[in-house]
Amino acid sequence: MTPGALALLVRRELSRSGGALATAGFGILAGTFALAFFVALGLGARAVLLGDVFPLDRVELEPEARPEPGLLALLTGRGKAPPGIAPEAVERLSRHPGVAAAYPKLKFAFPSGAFGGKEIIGRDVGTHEMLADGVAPALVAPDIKGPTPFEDPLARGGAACSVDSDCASSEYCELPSDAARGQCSAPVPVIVSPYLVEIFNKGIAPAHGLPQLGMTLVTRAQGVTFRLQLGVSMMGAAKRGKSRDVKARLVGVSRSALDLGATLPLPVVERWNREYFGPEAATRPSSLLLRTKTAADVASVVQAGAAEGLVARDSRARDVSVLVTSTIALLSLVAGTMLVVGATNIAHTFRMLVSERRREIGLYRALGATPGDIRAWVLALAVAVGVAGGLAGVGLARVAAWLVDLLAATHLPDFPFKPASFFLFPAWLVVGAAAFGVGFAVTGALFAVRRAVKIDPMEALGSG
Amino acid sequence: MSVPAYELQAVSRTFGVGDAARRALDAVSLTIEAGEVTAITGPSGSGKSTLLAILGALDAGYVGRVSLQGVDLASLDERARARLRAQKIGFVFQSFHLLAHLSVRDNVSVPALFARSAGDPASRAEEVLARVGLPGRSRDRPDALSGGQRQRVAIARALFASPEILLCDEPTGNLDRASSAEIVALLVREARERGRAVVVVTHDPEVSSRADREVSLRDGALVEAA
Repeated sequence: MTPGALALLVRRELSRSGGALATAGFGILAGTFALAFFVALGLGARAVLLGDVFPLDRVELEPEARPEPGLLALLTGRGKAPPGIAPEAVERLSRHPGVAAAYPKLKFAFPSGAFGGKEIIGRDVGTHEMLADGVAPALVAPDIKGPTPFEDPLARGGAACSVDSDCASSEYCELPSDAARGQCSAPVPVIVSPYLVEIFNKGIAPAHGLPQLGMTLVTRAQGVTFRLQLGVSMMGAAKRGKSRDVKARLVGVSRSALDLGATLPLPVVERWNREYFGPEAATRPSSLLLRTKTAADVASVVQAGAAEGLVARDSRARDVSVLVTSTIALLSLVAGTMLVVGATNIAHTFRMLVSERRREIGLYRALGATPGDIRAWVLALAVAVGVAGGLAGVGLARVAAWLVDLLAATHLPDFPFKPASFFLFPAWLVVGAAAFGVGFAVTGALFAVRRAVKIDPMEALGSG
Repeated sequence: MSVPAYELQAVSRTFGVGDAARRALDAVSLTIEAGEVTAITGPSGSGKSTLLAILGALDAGYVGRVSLQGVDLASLDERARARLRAQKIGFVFQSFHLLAHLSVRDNVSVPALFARSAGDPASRAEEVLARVGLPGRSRDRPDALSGGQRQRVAIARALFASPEILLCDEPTGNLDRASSAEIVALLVREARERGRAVVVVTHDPEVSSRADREVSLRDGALVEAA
């Protein structure tokens, strides 16, 4: 039988038994709809949670928390130095086969504050107790979209100075505590995390009557200058050095920035830690961010870190991944059950169809149809029902997803990392869900196919 | 010397096994020539339809030898037998077996679904419909036709692929006398004019009297070959 003849037979049967086949295909439609909808929802949730909130392809290792030092240790001064990570451990972990890149991080080892923001939100705001750290410029380079590079401004050189007025108006005098002369410096580049922007928008801004900062506005506000207060905070002053103000400039927003604080170029933090705490606070990273080659490498990298006395700073990514995967699996199971019910429905309908077409099948056999032709006819009919049900199910899932997104956009309150869409429909999901529909329809029809092929033509045609 | 349409040598067919075994055909030997009308008669259960199924390459479970135009049917696999049916054999049934959802023309051209044909199936259908005396009825549905006309459509379907053999199972069983006579005349004409071997299973003495030869079966055995 030619493909054209097969198509003609299927078309005739669809027009003749359209109602029964549509009913049979409804189960496939419902199952495919549920499968596509739930998996797309799971993928969307995973994309937001693991892409924006808890990135999975990276792990940050830090020294294991040390036990309370005790009174004696406090009296003798032990336990004051930040433990940090030995440079040798950094080197070993950098060479781990699962590691694509390693980025040391260094926290501020001295008190600090920050003030500014008038250009963005209309008035200066700030904190007398600022958390900050330094990261290697290479880590955040892809996130810096503006003209100001994320690097130590002193690396570019500068005129000698004693006070800020010795420098250009856009600069300040970087004058270390123990130095008689300093060096004119451009404002220190600072990046913040999208998480901080979300917290500001959804928590701080409403509480203080401040305008929210859209991400676009933050991006446009790059170049806004802040005042950083070094060596003193509301909790007290640094043990070494003199408190002083420096200029800082917001140059970008990056997921690699400190969640609740500011992130500066690593060489700047090393210099200031040395000034306000001592050399030991400048050479031992407080944590090490490791970007793995694949998400599957995270476990072995964490294990390698444990051998160095380091622990993963945040295991939420893995927890979320397991949760999302389990949820997708559970919902897929529900969809699978619906597809099985749909396949059962198909099996029943096709059994009836073959019984009703018994004489017709016998006639076709007498007129030259092979068992293979009969098999192809019934299977093609099942494929047609499966394709129609599968595509309709996927299409319906997309419409339902669009409606959910619309309702969420108009009725759900704003919350951190609220996505534009809760769903993700990659091509493989669309094709795969439709293929599942076809697969279950064909599976349901297999028994009927077997019966159809076994029909004895003469018996079916009423000869005895 | 022309090759016979069929040669059967000691053909037996048994259904069931053990105590339930029933012999439907018992050592039937027979030759059927092209251009002849052969009537197969006998009481119900005598093996007529079993013989017809074997001649139509629809039943391969026999013992003995059946050759169609010199080709041993036992040497053919399922696919080859189907191709043989599509190309060389036309079937006509007592109940017509027309498909009610198709037009007359589409019914006639059903064989085109299972065999490659060079021409246009619609044109060929019109041609054979004219040949059986039903020009201009190609768009009608079968239920708009009389019994005799339906059997003519069924014969047109059997003739669609220009087969060399026509196997007819009680072709007049559901028709009145006038229609029966017309159908028999049509079948005889196909044998005479086209050289087709026409095999007719029938209870009707009128039909067997028009045949060139009558073969009677009783309890599966050949009792008379006139």
